[in-house]
Amino acid sequence: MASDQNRIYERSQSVVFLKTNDAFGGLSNMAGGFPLEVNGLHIRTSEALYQVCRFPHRTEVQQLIIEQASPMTAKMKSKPYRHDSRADWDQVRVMIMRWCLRVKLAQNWNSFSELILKTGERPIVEESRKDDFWGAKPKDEKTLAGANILGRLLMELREAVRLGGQESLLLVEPLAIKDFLLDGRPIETVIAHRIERLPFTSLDAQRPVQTDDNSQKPLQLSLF
Amino acid sequence: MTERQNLLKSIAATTADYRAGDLAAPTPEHVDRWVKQFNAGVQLPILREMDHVLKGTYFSLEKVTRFLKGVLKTEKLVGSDPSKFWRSVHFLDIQGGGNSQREMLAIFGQLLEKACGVEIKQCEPPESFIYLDDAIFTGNRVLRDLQTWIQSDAPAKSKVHVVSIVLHSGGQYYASGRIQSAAKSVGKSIEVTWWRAMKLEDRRTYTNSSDVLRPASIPDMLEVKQYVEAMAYKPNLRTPGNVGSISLFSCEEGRNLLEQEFLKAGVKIRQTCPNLGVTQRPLGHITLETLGFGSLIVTFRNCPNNAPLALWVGDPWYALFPRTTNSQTSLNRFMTMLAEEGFDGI
Repeated sequence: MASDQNRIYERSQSVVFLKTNDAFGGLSNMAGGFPLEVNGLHIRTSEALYQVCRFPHRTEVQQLIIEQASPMTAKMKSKPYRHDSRADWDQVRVMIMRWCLRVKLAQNWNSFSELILKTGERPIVEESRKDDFWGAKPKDEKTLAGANILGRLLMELREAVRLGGQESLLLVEPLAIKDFLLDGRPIETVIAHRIERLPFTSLDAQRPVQTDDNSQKPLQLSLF
Repeated sequence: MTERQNLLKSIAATTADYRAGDLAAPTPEHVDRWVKQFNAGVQLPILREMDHVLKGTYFSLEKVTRFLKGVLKTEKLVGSDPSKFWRSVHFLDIQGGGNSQREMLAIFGQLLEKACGVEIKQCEPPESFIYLDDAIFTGNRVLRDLQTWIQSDAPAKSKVHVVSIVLHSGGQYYASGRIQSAAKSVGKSIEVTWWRAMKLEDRRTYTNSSDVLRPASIPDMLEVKQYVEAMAYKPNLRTPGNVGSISLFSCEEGRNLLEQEFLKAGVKIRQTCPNLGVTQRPLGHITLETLGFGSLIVTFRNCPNNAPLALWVGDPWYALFPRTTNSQTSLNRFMTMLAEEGFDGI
């Protein structure tokens, strides 16, 4: 890690997250509840999306990552193939992470933007015991040190939410890098994923008919 | 009563208001005449599975009405004051081809007036737009309608709520991306929210858990083999063992039976009805070269052409759900009926 990237954070002044069930755990790439859809494929977490991007040339590894129910297993399952990550991985990984976070935001606007804005003006830091590139390691009880790239990308995104608002963030263009592929196809523009459920109590006629008032009487219709 | 008679009666009852006013109500004899076109050995199992499937996929006027009544007051959509919300929206009436939007709007208009005292009128300037339809299949219709609207009347910045009973994932995905591109190309910002009661899987990647007909194998029949042989892109076959995300099918055997028999019938129908265009595939209309869209959704007002040919093509085949051929006449009849008979949907 280049020393000029190193940052020191006061724990008490920062939003620090370590586990996904922390108050700000939703900021973690491992957090569930922020489903994604890219090229028509369901991807459970931004971590899985990030890992998938290592392997544009190996669709079977991408498939293996996507199939895993937990992001931790997704990361572990992809580990044996890491040596075969795209050749320019170290050059593109930060912009890929930035893109993954924007996809997460576009497709989970309400919950993710709310969480990001809740961090206020404080620095956002991902605490890690061993990774001071994406996160920051505890230096002593009160401070954390590291490049904290993920936290800084989140802070940048927070600014974009404040300044640009929802409109400019609902479409996420694919990165202009070579072989930005998913399942053998170029990654398409990602759009806000807004599908809402409407009530329908009687889709299955074999279940008792429920009326939406309390009378429990079937509806009387005189049209036909 | 035999099991067969019971099933014929049950299917006729489930679909009792199919194109009511336009056609005679389906009878057990009608269903029998349809199923007799299949081999004797598979008729009873086809009836069993169709009876199960149609109970979930047939949308009678009563079901459609109940859905629309739910839409009227869905808090996530309308907030705490439904009347205020409905007064602030503009109902798009922009559908090209078919009447489903106009008919849904007619029913919704009556329900809205009774529930909220609000008339469907074009509020200016609206806070948002409503695109109402019974179902989104391939996504092509909503895409074309909104593309045209975006290029012409849509304000530079607008919110659109696409509201449908049934939404197919693939169609929604396909349409959303292209709607956004259309907006971008003319420098407009269109925010679309898709509202649905039922989401069905039809994406190629999720073939194994699809909710539409996707054969697991090619039936051992010369005509079908020749049809598949002639396809430039070979069909993506389903791995057996999944009845779909919401169990529309009763079991793998039942699902497989419909897929195999409707595929065989569809290929035969295509041979005997040379007027069917190339995109009217054996399992239903779709532009992509596949065995067909495979939808089993049918509403009281029509059967979509995305359903297997075996359900709706007529002459010499006998259709279970004949499709309307003259949409204007049918629309006029529907509107007259709605006006004359009074609509007691509330």
